[in-house]
Amino acid sequence: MIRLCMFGTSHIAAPWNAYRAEPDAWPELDITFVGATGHRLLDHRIAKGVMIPTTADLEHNMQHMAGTGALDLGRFDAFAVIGGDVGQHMIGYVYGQVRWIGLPSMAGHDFAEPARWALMSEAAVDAVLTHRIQHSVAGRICDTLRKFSDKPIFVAEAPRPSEALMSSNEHKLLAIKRAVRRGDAAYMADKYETLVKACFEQQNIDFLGQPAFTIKNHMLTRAGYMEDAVRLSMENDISQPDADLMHGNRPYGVALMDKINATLTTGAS
Amino acid sequence: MSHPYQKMPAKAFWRNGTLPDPDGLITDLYAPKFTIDETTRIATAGSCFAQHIGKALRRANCAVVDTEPPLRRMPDPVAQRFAYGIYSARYGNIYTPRQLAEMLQEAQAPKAKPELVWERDGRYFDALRPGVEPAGLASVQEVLDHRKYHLMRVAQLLEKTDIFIFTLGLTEAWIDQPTGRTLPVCPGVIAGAFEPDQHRFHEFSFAEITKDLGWIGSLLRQFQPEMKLLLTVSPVPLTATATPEHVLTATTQAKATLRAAVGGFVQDNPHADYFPAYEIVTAPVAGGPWFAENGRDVALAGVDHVMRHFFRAHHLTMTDMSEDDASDEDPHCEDVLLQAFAP
Repeated sequence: MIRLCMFGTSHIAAPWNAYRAEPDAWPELDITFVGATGHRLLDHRIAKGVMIPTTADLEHNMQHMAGTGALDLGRFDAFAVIGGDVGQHMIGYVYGQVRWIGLPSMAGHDFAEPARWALMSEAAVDAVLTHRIQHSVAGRICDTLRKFSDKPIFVAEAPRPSEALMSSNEHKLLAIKRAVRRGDAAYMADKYETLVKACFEQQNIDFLGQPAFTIKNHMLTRAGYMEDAVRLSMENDISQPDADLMHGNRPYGVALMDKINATLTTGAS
Repeated sequence: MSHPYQKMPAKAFWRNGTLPDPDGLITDLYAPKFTIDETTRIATAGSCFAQHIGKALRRANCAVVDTEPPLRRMPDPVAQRFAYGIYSARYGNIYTPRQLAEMLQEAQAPKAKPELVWERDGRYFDALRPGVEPAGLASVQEVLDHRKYHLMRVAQLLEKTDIFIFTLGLTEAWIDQPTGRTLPVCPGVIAGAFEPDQHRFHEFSFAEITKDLGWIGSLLRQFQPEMKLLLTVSPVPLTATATPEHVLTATTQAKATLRAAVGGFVQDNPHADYFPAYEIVTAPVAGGPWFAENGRDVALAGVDHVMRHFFRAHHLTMTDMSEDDASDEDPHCEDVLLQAFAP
């Protein structure tokens, strides 16, 4: 039995719900979930190997999901961090403002012509993304864990937005829609994955990409893995609003759990 | 008997004129020809010291134009490394008037020529602003594409600028002979290779600087007929000189030449003014010492002292530096790299 501590932001809801629905589906894993939305997961201190929340919110979340207000990290064989700001939306955010030479859509462009976007070098784009990955909730939790433990640590990215994005007017994700339409999605998805892997490899942390069969058009998630998603909440499962295109549902949680299980038990990733 | 000195104001006399007022500032040292308020669209450029001026103006919520801004939520260290938010466009440091004039002329009709691209370890650098991409770019063509884009943004900047603030830093420069272009740094220091047959040292004279200032003024007004030019001279000494002189005398010579040229130009041009940052930092009566321990960099207190004179003269409210601002305050300077070659 592998004792796994799984941290996460709102995206932890999918694997948490999958695990609660079928606790025997992954018999080799004994999982403790610790989730909190936004940056709340960072509101803790570590004392003698015990993670102690420094806010009432995080303490409540830990009690609710892990059944304890203080987590002895020393009793785990492995750690996973789900979401934590790491996901393709990061490169989408950059693409919403700038372009760089190397993007397929930039071939043959005349850069003396005014455009709505700014031209940035690929090195600067990489530096922005690297900094944001390192300073993400996942990056900071991993940093803390790695200082404390030499046990395996995995980071699983937040799912790509739902394919329903292509028929939606969701402003915040417009850049990803554009990337798909302009033929930049494959290049961007690959670039982001290469960068994120490199960032975490420096600390001997493994990156778990989104299960391939759930991905559509490189930067989207098949609708069947996002419809009827539930959100992380203190007490009950609450359905996400229909307009939510960012969170995985229970089948997505099962797919992610299978991937984590395979990684931990067979080394496959 | 009467004579002109009897009617001179206090500022005309050293004993009275240089006394600090209760705020520690020298009264009437700077009497602006032009008004600057929160709506005046300002562009900044120049040698390293100009970075301090731009930052102070931004902190005070002045309308500093930036046509190559950092992306929203760009981490500060990354923005600083890639020369975002330092000046009003990513031209890097512009040390001499000739360098500025040549850039303004090129911005009128951006045509990036396949020249002045330096190589280092398989990466390519724009010789006209080698510090803005610290790791260089992937190809010569990419450098040219970035240069073309940059010049288009410079033209956009100049079309929406009311006052262009330029800080003159050096009289010494390296010229690329085949193109005649003035370089911001000696080839080989950041990238490229120094070729004695191709790269010529030049020390700009008083006459050349005066002429180049006129050229700058004329080019600026072609973009925006009402544009004003506010000049300052950097008080920061040379890191190194390529003349046979001692670096101290070379510094004195350079700063005196720049200061004299600016003084004459401003007297003759109603659209140009001078802000005496140089005097505020270097004159013993202005308090201080305002230099850092290395005797070269201006200490943050010195920058603050300079800008307090500026803001008071323009009736603007100065914003104090936060700790974060202060930690990012080391300017981005190519010429400092020369220090590494000191014996």
